[in-house]
Amino acid sequence: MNLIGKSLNKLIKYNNINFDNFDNKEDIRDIEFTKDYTKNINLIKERLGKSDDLSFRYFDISTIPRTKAVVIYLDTLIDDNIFQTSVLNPLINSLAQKSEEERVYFKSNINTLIKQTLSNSKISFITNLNKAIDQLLAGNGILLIDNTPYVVSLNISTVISKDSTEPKTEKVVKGPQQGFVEDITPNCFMIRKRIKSPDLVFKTVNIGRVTNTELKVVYIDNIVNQSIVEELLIRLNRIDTDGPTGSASIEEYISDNPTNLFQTTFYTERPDRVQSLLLEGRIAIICDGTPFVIIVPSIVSDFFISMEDYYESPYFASFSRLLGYSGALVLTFLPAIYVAVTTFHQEVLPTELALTIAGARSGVPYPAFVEAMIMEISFETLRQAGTRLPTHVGQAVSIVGALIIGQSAVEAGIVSSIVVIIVAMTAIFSFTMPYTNFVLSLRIVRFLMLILAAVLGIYGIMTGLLILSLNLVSLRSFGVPFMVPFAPTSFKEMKDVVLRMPQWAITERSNYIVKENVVKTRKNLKPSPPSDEERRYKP
Amino acid sequence: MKKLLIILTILISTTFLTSCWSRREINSLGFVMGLGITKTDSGLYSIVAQLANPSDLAAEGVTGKDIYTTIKSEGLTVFDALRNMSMIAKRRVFISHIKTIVISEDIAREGLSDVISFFVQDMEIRLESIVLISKDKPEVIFDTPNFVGIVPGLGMSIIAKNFGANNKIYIADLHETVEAVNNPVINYVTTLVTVTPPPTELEKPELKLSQIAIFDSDKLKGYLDYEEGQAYNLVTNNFKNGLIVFDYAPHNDKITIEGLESKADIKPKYENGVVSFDIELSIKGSIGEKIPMETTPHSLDIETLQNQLSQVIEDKINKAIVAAQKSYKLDYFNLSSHFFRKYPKEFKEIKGEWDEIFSNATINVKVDSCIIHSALNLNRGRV
Repeated sequence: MNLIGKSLNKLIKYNNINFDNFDNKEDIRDIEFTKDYTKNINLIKERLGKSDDLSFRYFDISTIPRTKAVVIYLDTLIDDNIFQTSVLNPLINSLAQKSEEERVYFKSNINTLIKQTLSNSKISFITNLNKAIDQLLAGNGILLIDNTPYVVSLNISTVISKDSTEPKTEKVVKGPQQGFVEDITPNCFMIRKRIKSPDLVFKTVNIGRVTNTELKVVYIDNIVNQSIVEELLIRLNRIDTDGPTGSASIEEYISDNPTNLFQTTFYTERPDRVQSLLLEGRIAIICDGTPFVIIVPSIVSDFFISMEDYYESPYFASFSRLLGYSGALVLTFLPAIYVAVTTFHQEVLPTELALTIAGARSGVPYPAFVEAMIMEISFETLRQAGTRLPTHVGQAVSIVGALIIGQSAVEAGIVSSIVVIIVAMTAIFSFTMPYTNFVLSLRIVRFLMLILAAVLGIYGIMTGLLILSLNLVSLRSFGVPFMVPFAPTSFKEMKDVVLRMPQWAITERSNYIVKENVVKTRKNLKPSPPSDEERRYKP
Repeated sequence: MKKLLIILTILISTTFLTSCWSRREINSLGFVMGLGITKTDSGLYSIVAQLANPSDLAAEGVTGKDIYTTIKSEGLTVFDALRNMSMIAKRRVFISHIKTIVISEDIAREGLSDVISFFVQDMEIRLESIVLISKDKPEVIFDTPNFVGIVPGLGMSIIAKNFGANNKIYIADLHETVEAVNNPVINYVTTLVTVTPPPTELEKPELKLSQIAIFDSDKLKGYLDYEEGQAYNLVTNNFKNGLIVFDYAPHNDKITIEGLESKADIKPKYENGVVSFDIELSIKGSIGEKIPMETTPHSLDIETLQNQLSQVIEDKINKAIVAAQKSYKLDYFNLSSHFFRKYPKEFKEIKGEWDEIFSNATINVKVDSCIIHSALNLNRGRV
C-alpha cells in the first residue's frame, strides 16, 4: 500500500514539473565585443573558463610597436600544426621580415594586417560573443587583438576525426562504429565533437607519483549535480600511489562500497554511450592509456542497457531489455533451482517433466548438486581458457570443451543431459549483458546460491535472494541508490530503463541523479500532423 | 566485529547443521502414477501402486509393459499397506504425482470414508488426482499395457480430461471426493473403469471409463447408463461438447447436435411443506451431422429443430429424474445443495428424510435450446 502511495506521489510530482524552464533555456545574453582587450578575454573566460581544455596562446604581433594578441582555442579540437603554420608563423616571423613602414602601417590598420598576412584558409570577423563561442566549440581558434572591437575566427580545427577504433566489447549493428582509444587526446576530441556545449567541462587530474597518469573528469556543468563532482574530485585527489594501471584501478579507488561483491561504477568504450550518459547528468572519467571510460554515479540498469537499443525500434529494444533482466535472474538462479527442485521439491514439477528428469538422471552416480557443480566449474574453466589463449587456440579449446566434455560426459553417464542444458542456458543468458562488471559478480553469486539450494532447497534460495536483495538495495554510487529505479521504485524512470519508450516519451532525467535541470525534452513531441497555426508559419 | 562473528556463526551453522535435511535425489524416487485399493478376504487393505520407470520412458522405442512396474502389498490400514510397499519397491515410493486412484467396488459399497481419509491426512499427496471405481481388481486395471507408450495410471487421467467430448461420464477428482465423503448430505458421483476386450487379436485390451457410478453419500448404489449420464451432466452444469442424437420429425433425418454451451438454472421451492424444483436449462449447439433419409433434398426448419431438441433434452432429463426418484430413490443430482442455499433453516429440519422428500418432489424441467450454426455444407448434408 505504502509503495503504491509513494509512486502515486511521484506521479503527481511529475505532473507538476515546470516545463517552462526548458522553453526559456536559450535566453543567454549576447554581448558585443569592445575595444577593451582584457575585457574581451574575460568575456570568453566567463563562458568557457570552467573547462581545462580552454587554452590561451598569448603572443605579440610583430608590428611596430608590437601589438598584444591572444588566440583562444579548445586544445581538444585543434590541430597544432595548422595553428603554427597558418597563424603564428605569419603574424610573428613573416611579419618581422617585412619593411618597417609596412609594420608601422599595420599597427593602425589591423583589418588589413589580418587580410594581407594571415595565411589561414577560413577567417571571419566576429563582433559578438555568442558567435565567437560557437566558433570555439566548432574547433576554430579565436584571435583577439589589443584595441580591436572584433575578434577573428581562425580555422585551425582537426579536419579528420582523430584515430578511433571499432568498439571491441560493445558492438552494435546500426549505430556508430566509433570507439575510444588508448590515447587520451583523441578520446577528449570525440566527446567535444559530440557535445558542442559551452557547459561541457573537462577537468584535468594527474595521478601517480611515478607514472603521472593524466585523467580527465568530464561533465556538463548545468546538468550535473555539483556536489557529486566535488566529491569525485576529492576522492580522486586522495589517490596517492606510484601509478594506476588503467581505469579499472581508478574505479577501485573511488568506489563507495570498496569491499562489496558488486561494483558501483560503470564503464564503456563507446563515445555515443558517454554522450547519452553525460546528458543524463553523469560524470565521465577518461584515463590516459585505457579505452574504457569510467562513468559515475552508476545505477544497476546501466549494465543491462546496450547502445543498440537506441538504434532499434522501441518495441524490440524493450523486448531485448526484458530479456536481459530475465537473463540475470536465470543466470543467478537456474542451476540453484534445478538442484533444489530435483533434490527437495520433486512435487512442484509437472509429472511429465519430473519423469523426464528422473529418466535422464537415472544411472548418474553423483547427487544433482555435485553434478551441477562439476559442470558449472568446468564451463567456467573453459571460458577462462577460451578467453586467455590466442584466438585460434581458443577455438580448439571450445571444441574440446563442447564435444569431448559435454557429449562424452553425458554418454558415459557421469552427468545427465539435463544439467548440460542448464549450464548451457546459464552461459548463454550471461552473454546477454554486454558489461562484465555486474555479470561477473552474478556468476559468483550463482555458486553461493547453488550451495544454499543444495543444503536448504527453495528455502535456501529464498534466503540467498533475501541476502542478495538486501545487499543490492544498500549499495550507493556517489550517494545515488544503486538499484534505482527498482528500489526506490520509480515507475516514471522505468520508462527508459526497464522498457525503452520512444524518445519523445522520455522528457526527464532521473531525479535521483540530477537535482535541478531535470527536463531534457520538450513535452508533447509525439509526431502528429501540423496544426493550421504551424502551417501558416513559414520560416 | 563480534556481531559479524555471531551472524556468521548462525549462518554457517544453519547451513551445515541441517546437513541437507530430507534430501532425496529425483532418480531415487519411485513415481507412483496410480494407486489401487481393494480388500483381501481376511479384511486387510491391499494396495496396488503403479510406478513409472523413468529411464524406460526417456529411452526411445520402449512401449508397453516396460514403462511401468506394478507392485502390491497388504496392511492393516491404507497407510500401513503403503509403507509395507517399501519392503518390495526398489525406490522410495513417492505419491505426490499420483494421477489416478482406483477403488474396488466392494470397498465402494461399504463406504469410501475408510480409505479416503488417508489421502487428506497425508501431506505428500495432491488433491487433483482422479478417483475411479472398478469392478475388476485394481491390479488388472493398472496392468493393462498399451501401444501408445503411456503409463496406464497417467492414461486414465488423460481420458478423464476428455470427458467433455462425450459427457456420458463424470469424473470426480480427489478434492471433490474428500468433500463429498465428509459431507453426509452430498451424494458422491464418479465413474467406473473397465477393461474392454481388444478389437483384434493383434491389439491389446484397453481401459475404458464407461459409466457414472452413483453413491448414497459415500456408499456405491449403482451405475447410470449413457442417457442418464448426459442428463446428470446437463443438470449439474457439466455439459460441454457432448452430442445429442435424435430423429428430425418431419423427414426422419438423423440429426446430431454438438453442444457448445449449456447452463442449468435450478430454482427450489418450498411451499406448505412441499418441495419442488424448477430446472431451466438453456443450451446452445450446432448441427454436427445430418443423415438424410429421403432422396429429395430439403431444407431444415431451424425453429422446428430447436423445439424438437428442447423436447428431446427435456425427455432425457425427465427420464433420468424419474429413475432417480423411483428406482434409485437417491438425489444424485445433489439438488439438496440448491435447496439448502435457498432454505437453510428449513433444510435442517427435513435433512433426515431428504431422500424420501426428493422422491416425491415435483421437478419441472424446461429447456430452451438454440442452434447457432449448421455445420452442414452447401449440399445440405449430402456429400
